Amino acid sequence: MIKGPSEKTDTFMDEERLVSGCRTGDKQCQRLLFKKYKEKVFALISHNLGAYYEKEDIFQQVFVKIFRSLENFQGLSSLDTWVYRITVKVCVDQQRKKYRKRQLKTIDSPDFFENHSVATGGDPYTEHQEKELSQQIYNGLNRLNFEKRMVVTMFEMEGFSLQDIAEILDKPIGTIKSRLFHGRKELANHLRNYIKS
Amino acid sequence: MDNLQKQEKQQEIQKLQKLLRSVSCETKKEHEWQVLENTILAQLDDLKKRAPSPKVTVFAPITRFFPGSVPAFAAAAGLLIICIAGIFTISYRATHPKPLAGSRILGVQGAVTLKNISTDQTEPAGETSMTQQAPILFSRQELTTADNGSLMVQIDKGSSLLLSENSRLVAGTVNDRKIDLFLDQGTILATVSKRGKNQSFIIRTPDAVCTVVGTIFSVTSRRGKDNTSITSLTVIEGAVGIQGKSDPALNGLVKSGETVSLQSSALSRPKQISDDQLNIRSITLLKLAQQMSNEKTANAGLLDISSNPAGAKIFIQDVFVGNTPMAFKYPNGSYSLKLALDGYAPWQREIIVQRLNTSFISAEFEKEESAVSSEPAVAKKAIRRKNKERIVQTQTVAAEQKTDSPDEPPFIGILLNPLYVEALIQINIGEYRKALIILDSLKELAEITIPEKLKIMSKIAECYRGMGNFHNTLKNLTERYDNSKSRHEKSNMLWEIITVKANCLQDYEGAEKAISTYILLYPDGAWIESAYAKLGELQYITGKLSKAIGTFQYHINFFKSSKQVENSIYLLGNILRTEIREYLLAVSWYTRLIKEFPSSKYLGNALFERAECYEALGQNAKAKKDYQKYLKLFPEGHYKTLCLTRLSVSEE
Repeated sequence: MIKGPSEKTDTFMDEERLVSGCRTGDKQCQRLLFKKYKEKVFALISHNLGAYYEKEDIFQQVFVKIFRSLENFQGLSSLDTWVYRITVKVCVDQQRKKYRKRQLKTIDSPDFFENHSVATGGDPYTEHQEKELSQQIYNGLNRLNFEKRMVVTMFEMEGFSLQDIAEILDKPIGTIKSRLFHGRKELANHLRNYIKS
Repeated sequence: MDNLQKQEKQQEIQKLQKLLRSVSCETKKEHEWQVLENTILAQLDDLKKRAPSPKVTVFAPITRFFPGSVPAFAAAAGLLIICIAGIFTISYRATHPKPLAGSRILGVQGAVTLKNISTDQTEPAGETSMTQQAPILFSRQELTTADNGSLMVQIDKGSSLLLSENSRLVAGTVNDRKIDLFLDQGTILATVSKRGKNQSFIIRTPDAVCTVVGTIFSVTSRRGKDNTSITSLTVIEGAVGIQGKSDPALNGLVKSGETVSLQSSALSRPKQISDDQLNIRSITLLKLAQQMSNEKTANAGLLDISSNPAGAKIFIQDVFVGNTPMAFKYPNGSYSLKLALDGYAPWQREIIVQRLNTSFISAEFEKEESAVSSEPAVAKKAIRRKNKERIVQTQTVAAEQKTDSPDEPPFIGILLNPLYVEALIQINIGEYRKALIILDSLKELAEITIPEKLKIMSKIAECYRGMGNFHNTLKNLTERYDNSKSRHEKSNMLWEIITVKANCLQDYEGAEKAISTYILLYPDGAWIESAYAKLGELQYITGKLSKAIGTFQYHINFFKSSKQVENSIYLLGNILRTEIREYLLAVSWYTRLIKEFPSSKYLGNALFERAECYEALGQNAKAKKDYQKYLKLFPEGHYKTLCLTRLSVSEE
């Protein structure tokens, strides 16, 4: 029986060694750091920016920025917080740049299917409903302003604690709570049909 | 009661949380992560190579002459040099002020001069300064326009102004934080982007100070009968503050749609703007210039064409564009411009449209000689009257003929509509909702022709996409597909429908059906190669494996030169290996990929996966060879560890 490519690698290297290795340009350490954060960073970008951004480009920007800024990482916060803070900053920059305009032009790119996940092969009707629901949820998230959207997605979809979000966004915890409260309220209002059913 | 409400809210939040957690994030396949990882690391290497060498300290040569600690002498000498350089810089700056970054001339008409007041140097603003991309505006600079002259200047990224004829404007302080301009006489029309907290934009006249927040407005400064100064302020968008210079108590805030004038220490009450004051053409021109200067890749310039009398037909390269007066964007190049008006001799010129520049063209029509010379004075009047009637008639006929004449692009007429231009601007700045409102109202106009309607609808689709409303995008596309008569347009629209269905709505079944229709109806379509490749992918995604295999094979055999063939070969090998478990067949496809596409992005994966197939077939020696080859070609590759482990196991 052939074994599939295994994910199991020595990801348990301690943070300090990982950071110093990356600073010296050690490829192994860089790959480990990439592996450690790739999924979380990609999910953060996807949820925060929605469908109409070049997520792969932004993802690359984030990691290049992380590796290049590691020199300045002083260890005042945990590496996790620092990495997510950079991700959020890049997302905010992209949002400000109204990246959507450029994205509009790439819709006819011949490689447009490349990054799509393979369907699970479940019941087509359920799948269709799920797709519609997630589309509605994203529409609702799009209606929130960016600050609220970030807090809602990070708390509800990514599972960050309020304290973590406050640290990542560099805002008082009260502000985060308020954004979460109002964000949920607006989103619930948009999704009221689904919530009631 | 309160408790009940609280409980309800709590339940609502719990349901919302459940909904949000049910959304699964888009996942990536292993080889896709691998591609991203390699790209990022390559980028890092590239950046490392480009990094500048470490800087040499200023004190290095001094310490070489004075070994030991840096002596007081060196410090004193350094201080002296800094002082001399400072004095030199100050005196140099006084005569050579630093121009404001981002400022440039957007267009010049007639006689315009730019003067440096400090050095008294004057230069005419003409073609040469227009082509200069370097910053142009600096402190203590005087901009003057003569009769029939006008000047359009970009001040910074979001602001520009149009200086009308017989105007004199002096730049006071001009830097990133403060723009302070003095309008001695004449009129300026300005669009100013929203200012930051520490930024200000002020226009002074001899008797007033206008403070701008972010808006479109015009200021006129002129002399009254008794030589007193009169300032008129007209605000088209936003709000501008006005204050008397001699009496600061005279002040007010002028809102959009209002105009005031300040004369002899008296401020008039705000009045509504009249149509004459609302110069749509100039506003459109300024907005278009502003919009264009923000497009880094813009490959077009602006044309502002007017004529006396107005209403002449504009033809560029013998193609009808619109009627004068008209301001519009046009691609770079040299063209023949013809203006035609019934009863007048045609007016013709060769014009050059330069990138990011505005060409002002004004034509004076002369009566056709045969008509003028032979008629007595009384008859001339009658002819003039007739001509007027004819102008009106020809305009109506032109409007009716728009859809019929093949020479006149039918939708061009919509470009004349300032609302349409406004909608385009709103799309360009990402304000899709605002653009949608305008376009929806335009679509309902009775006089809109079908091609114009289709043009508007394409812009509406753009808005929906921008807003992420793909269901409406699809609806719009389908409607356009049904209404369009051109086969070429129809094929492109169907392809767009496919992309929206598959890419934005994840409706793979729908996309598959649409793509089959595309292949059936447009076998010679521009996207036919991609269509087969993508149909295979869609069939793979939806689990129709045997169909997918057939489609991929067809694509590989019939579109050998297609760029997507390597993709199809790799996916075919993948289906045979992972889904059908036909390892022998999979090996043949992987081998073809390795041989025919030695620099393919799938090479590493193909080698490793072929080795796995050999292992499954019990051909361990071949598998070993492939693992070794993989390690040789990709020493830091994703499957490095796996290859090493499997090689060590096989040796044991």
